[in-house]
Amino acid sequence: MVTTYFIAAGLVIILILAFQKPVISHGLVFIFMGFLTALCISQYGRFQQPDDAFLKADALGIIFLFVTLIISFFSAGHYIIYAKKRTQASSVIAIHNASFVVFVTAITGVFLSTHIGMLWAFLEASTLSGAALIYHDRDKLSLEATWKYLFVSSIGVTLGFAGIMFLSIAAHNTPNNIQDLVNVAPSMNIGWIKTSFIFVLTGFSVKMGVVPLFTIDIDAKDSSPSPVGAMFSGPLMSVGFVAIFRFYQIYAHTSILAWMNNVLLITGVASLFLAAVFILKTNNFKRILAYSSMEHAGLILIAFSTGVNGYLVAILHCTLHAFAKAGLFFQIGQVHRTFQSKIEEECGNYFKISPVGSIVLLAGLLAIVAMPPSGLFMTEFLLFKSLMISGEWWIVFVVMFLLCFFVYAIVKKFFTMIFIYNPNAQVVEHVHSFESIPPLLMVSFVLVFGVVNPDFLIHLINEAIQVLPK
Amino acid sequence: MISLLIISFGITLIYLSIAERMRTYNTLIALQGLMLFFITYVELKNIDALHLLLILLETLIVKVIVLPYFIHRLLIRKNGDRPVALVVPGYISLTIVSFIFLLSFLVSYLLHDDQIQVKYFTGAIAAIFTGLYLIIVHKQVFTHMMGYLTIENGIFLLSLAIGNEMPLTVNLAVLLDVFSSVLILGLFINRLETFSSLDVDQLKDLKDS
Repeated sequence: MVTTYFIAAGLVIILILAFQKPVISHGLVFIFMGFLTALCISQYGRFQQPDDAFLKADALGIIFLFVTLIISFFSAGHYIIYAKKRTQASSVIAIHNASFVVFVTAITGVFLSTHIGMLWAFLEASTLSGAALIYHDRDKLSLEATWKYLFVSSIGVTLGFAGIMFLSIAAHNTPNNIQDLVNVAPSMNIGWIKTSFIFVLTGFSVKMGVVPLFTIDIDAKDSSPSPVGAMFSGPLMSVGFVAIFRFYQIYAHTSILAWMNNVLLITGVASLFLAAVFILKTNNFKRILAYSSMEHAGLILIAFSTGVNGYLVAILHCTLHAFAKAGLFFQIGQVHRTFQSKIEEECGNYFKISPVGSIVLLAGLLAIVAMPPSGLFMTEFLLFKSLMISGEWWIVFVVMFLLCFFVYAIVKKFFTMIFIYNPNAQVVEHVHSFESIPPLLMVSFVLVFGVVNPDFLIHLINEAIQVLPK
Repeated sequence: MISLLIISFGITLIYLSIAERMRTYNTLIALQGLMLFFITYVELKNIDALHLLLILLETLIVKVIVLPYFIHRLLIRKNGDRPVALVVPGYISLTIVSFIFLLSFLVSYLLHDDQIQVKYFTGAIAAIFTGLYLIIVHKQVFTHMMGYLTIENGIFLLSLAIGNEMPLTVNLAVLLDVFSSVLILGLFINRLETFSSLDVDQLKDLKDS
């Protein structure tokens, strides 16, 4: 099925570029979604069977394959409306759709990779296709964001590649299959693998949106179309997480485990701190959501740094955040269309204009600021619990203190837009309530998860963390 | 032979630190590509012929011919061979890059490992840090690209430092080359002309408030 999927993706890309008519182009994207669904189901059916293939999802891959499937399905649907409302040229739509298929294929490739080299190649492919998606609007801002994204991402991925080479040195040229590397991990040279982990974390921070290379991620989410922003906040962030997880999975079997956890903790807290500083400063709703993603990425790394108690929390948080943030990006795209602005000073009284859209925003806010019944409340609660079990009390206080800034900034700015009348806000378009259903579904999933925990997901996460030492 | 080629590669790095004209940068990057071509041949001549041919062709075509040609055509010929604004005086850059070389030697000898070849490793580390230095101290998109290509050449050399027993790493480095070509030659190099002087100071519209 994997081979069929990649061949189908290639054919769909060729057909989209050959027949640039929007109807055909959008239809082909949904045909591709059909193949992605088949891939997810087939991989789910056989993820526990041993296999030496270069491309085969493990439990972690399965979780994020399904996350990618759901978000990219809605993203493709939202893009149809986006393109129609903006009366985009057929060629622009075709390039977007072809790049979207490449992007999703590259992302799924990362989740399927059992080989470090393949994983890196798919990451690089996601950079190039992601750049084409950011450049969609063909204006100066999107050009600036695209250039910065391509340039910094390429440097990031290049540094990641250097990390892979240091791993090769440490592994005495063992083939870069993850399981083979895990087997030889205890005999690896400590100096090389520490250097490798630093390079990998720095390089792939670009994908996860954490310190140090986080800035371009914020710019990319701001200047790309909202359906693309949703993909960047959900599946692409998961790609960064999975890439770091794969190296962690190898090095966790060496004596640097505690050192790695410290590095992740510092990176997570630094990301949280910088996101808190910038979120207070910005008045752009898309950037607020982007900084909120950085906050959650920081929390995921902090959870991971707590070791065995935090692994489940980190993966669950990453999964739930993907849905909540994607839903909010879809909805903020509608706010943008309503006011032709995403700036705080030019939006207001949204509740009267779109009650359904406002409910989605309020539910989404509840989810991302981790208020009950949000599933993210549960994960953050477990995060604090695992920090306390690890004896990291001061981190608990620092994180709680920083989270207050996020709650304040997000609630203040979004509530002002939803409830406060603003004479500068010009209503340009009334968006149909129907369009708020997909984001409502995604946000609702996160809220319901706080009350009902689907067994299959918890089972999959437990399977995923089996590869890490107890 | 290898020592001579790596020393020449190092000289191009030093020259890059004090170069003032766009054409000089482009020529130096092409020269680096040519040296990598010969180094690859000497280092990998014992691997299977088809594999070697592919890697050599990629090195020669992408690094020595295609990239320099398009950079010349799209940037230098259209905008003229303008001097590059030096934020840091040349003699300071020269000192810093020399210091980078010294550090690279030290690091290579300190990390001495049977898996790596010290000569390659020194050149690679020096190229990676010189590239990063070029990106940090210059303000023009053009020199940022040159810095990136220098890093990328360093990574290629690094793959050779460990790659003689592991052609897959070299293959991935080749893939990185191809991707960087797309980065440079894709539509953006054309579109970036809208920023008339190609100065990164003009890329400041995306901000928080």
